[in-house]
Amino acid sequence: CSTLPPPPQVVPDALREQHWRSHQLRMHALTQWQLSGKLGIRTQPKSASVHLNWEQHSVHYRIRIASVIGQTLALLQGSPEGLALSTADDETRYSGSAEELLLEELGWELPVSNLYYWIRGIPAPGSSAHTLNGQGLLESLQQGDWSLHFSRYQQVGNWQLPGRLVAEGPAARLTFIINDWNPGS
Amino acid sequence: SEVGELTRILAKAQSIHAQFQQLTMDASGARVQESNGQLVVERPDRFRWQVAAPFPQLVISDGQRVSIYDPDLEQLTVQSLDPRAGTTPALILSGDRAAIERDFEVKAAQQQGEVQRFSLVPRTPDSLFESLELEFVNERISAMKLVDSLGSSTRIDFSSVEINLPVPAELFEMQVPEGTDIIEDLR
Repeated sequence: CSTLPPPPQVVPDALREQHWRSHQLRMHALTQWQLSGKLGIRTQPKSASVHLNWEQHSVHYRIRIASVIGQTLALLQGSPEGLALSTADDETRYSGSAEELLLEELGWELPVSNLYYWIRGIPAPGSSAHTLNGQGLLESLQQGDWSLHFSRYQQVGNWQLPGRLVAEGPAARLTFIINDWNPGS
Repeated sequence: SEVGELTRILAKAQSIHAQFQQLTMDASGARVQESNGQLVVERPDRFRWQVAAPFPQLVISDGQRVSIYDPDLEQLTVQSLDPRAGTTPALILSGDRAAIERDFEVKAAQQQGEVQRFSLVPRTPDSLFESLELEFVNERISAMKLVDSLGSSTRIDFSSVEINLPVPAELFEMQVPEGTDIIEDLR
């Protein structure tokens, strides 16, 4: 029979919380990555399905939002000083909040500051409620007015990273599928 | 004229079937996006852009509307055929001379043997790309290159190109599984 990948080892109940705490610590240490994937946005009236590249170097990040066949729709570059959003019609705008800029320019809400944590499969700072899957990894998360579901975890080096993230917000549902995770590169 | 030569070549194909390989590089030359799949185009404005990998996706224009089905997202978006949207490159292959002349300035690059290249510069400044280049070998489409206004360039190579094969109508009808989230985004 075909060689199936080894079943993810199930962490016994008692140890799950403990495994989750050490996993969170490790994930907080991951502050450099490159990832690419697809983002489906379901809002009123605009909905979209775009390609996303995300490059993170500790407090600096670059997010490229593109159409399916490669045309860049927007480039978001963030640093502690602030944020620049350049769009296809050559305009570059600066602001303190990525969320506001994206909403104004592209018409949909992308909770970038929270996604910085969620994309790694950990809660953003602040209060939240969660459930864990069999491996002691985040399965569902209630945070602020978003409720999230994490799945398709993939082992990349010694990192366990989510491959699919569905985030249900007050005015949007985001489905984020990451096919190319490069932690620490 | 150059647009005349381009549309003469395009007009030879009532329909085009091809495999495509897409590679996008950003301003620093890093590979940021790749995909491959099949394309079917039928004049004047019908096309089927089926991405096989990395994310299966199906984009169909039936001439009035563009339907985009993402199985991963369980989402089907139906939009009116907006020339400015990313679907324009596929439409160009269907070779509607009036539309090409209206939207683009066409310049022919020098011909090298059987390779001919045309560069199309959009007349409206806020189009999704700054320039588009079409490459033909023996008057058959072989590649398309798009440079967008934010420094990325996309090259789409076409292979196993067949022209004027019969095109079953079902190729331009979108069927999606039960429970797919259907979003009408008709402006």
